[in-house]
Amino acid sequence: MLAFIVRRIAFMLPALLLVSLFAFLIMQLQVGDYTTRFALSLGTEGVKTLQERYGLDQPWYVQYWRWVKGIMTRFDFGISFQTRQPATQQLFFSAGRLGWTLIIITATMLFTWLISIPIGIYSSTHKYSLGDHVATFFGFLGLSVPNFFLALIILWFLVVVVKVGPNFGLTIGGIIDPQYVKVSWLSLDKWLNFLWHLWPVLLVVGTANMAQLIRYMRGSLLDVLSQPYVQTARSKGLAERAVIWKHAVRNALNPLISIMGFWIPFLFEGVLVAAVVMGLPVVEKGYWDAIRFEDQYVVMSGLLFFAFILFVGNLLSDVLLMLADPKIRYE
Amino acid sequence: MWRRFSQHKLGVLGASTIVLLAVVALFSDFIGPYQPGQQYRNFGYAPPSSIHFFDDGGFSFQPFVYGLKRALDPALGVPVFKEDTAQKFPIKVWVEGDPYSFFGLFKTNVHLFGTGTNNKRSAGQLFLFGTDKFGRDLFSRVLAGARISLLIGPLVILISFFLGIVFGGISGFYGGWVDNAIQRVTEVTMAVPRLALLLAFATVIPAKADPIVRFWIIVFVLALVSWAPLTRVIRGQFLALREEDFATAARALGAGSSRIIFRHILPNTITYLVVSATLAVPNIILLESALSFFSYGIQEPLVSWGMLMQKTQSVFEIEFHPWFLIPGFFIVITVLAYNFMGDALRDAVDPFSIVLSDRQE
Repeated sequence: MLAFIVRRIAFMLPALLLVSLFAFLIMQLQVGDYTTRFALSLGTEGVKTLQERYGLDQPWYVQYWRWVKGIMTRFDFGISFQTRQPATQQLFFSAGRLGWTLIIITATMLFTWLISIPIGIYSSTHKYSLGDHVATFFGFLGLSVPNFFLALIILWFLVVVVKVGPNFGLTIGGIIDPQYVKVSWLSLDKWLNFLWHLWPVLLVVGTANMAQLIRYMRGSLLDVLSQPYVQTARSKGLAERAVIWKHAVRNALNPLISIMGFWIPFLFEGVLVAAVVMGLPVVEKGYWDAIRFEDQYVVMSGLLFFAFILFVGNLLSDVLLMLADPKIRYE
Repeated sequence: MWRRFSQHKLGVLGASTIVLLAVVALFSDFIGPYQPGQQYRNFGYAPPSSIHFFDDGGFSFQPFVYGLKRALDPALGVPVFKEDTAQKFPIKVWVEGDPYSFFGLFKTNVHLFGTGTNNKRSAGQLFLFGTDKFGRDLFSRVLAGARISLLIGPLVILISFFLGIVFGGISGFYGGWVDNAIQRVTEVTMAVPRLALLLAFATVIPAKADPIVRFWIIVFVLALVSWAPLTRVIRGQFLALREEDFATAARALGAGSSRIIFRHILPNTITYLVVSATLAVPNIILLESALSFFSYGIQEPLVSWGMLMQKTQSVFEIEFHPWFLIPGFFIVITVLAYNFMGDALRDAVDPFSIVLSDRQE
């Protein structure tokens, strides 16, 4: 297994190199660059000096080579034009963005699995019952609601129906209210405040995946339940509960684990939307700001980072699958 | 296959919803009481008109609206609109309103319904979904937005389908290093979240680009981010089918590669591919709406549902002008309809073979 992981990581590097080239070429397609916006205030001369300072006057392959060389030799992803900080600093570490992204993604994963797996199991063991139809309908609905619209509806609910804000003592948006930022994590109030900000995010990011998971779990368990070994287990006189939980569910989960990596891009989309609408301090927000300011090195680093996360996610799901299913061996 | 599809109630419901929306979109100039771009400056931020059947005199079969009167909200100090019960405007059918050109054939100003006052100052206006800052009727704009929101999905799929057949076909049919190269490229495009890629691409479009040009660039960019999964599906099909006896037989008879691809393999897999394409449409609609919502997509004077919701990015608008959220429900209904239809088609074509999911493609 170790050899497998090492080989996969070795394959990841050329793929990431390709992504970097791709990201770079997209940014090169832009008409003008970051300095264009200063054309009026600095004049042609000023823009030229600025371009020279950032190396933007060089041909694209020179710029690309410098960028890649910087990454490989010094782990330097270029600088952010907005703040003159290293791009990685801007994207990941200002306001603890990387940490929040990881926390939100992990929390969403846990939340979606904890809710949708039981619903999926119920749905398939009570096929065509009222509950199954309701679950299926909500599944379809969850798939069909744009993330941003769900976020807006939740905001509307909070503002108009619950009337949060000044008279509720809580704010909407952000991840922690300002007065709690400096408080230690040992305080219960801070946790409550954090959870209060977390639940809308979980819903916005998780709903589409939840709908998907319920459908997969239902389909997968239905497949397994029609297998001969389940019949055997039943005819042995095992309790239905043992048949389902010990024999069927364990096997039905395997295909779900194998596609776990696929969800990461969708989680990303959800987090991006939630970050913009609700103002969260996450990596995706940094990416969004960079997009708006044409901060090319930050955008490129962002694209690379997202691809990296996807590759790691795929690798993780393969490893998990190996652990869960002894039949699977990667040579 | 059609029999099986028609037995799927939700599928039929989805398909008829899409047809209905398409008809409405086609005749939106006529059905909407106003023109989508027409500004009624006196009525900026007017809330949705409420339609009445009862007044002091009792019930009337003809619905009516009360006149709009500007008033000052005592608590907030901002202008709001109140109903002026002294003025009654019946809602009529086949009335005169904003002029428009009927499919470029002839000019007319007849609309399906409205108050028929045809006067920008008259208090008798029918704003079913309220108005925006400039007093443009949201209902008429939603109808007009249906055109782009409905069109963009199939259009993008058509293009990415074409790309998918070319690249997936080559990849699956020839194999070898060509296959390897194409597969690596699809992997890279699939490795980056599509919204991130779309936003990066959208920054490339010059801000001053003509809205129509911009629309086509967006269609093309959406196709660029969605061709890869389709290519994989098509490649898989070609890999399986090129080994079938009929392909070998065709080759033995001396048929060239293109003949085998287009005359023998493609017809055998086309239903399957059409279903995959249908299942991919909802995603395109969702992506377009998100892109336009973030103001990197469709721009004025074109209208799409996502674009109509741009203003709701601030909590203030959600609180005081909640009718701006209405276009979102149309996105949900359309995507839901496509999902139902795709699911029914999948069941009708073959209940077992297609494991493709709608979100993952």
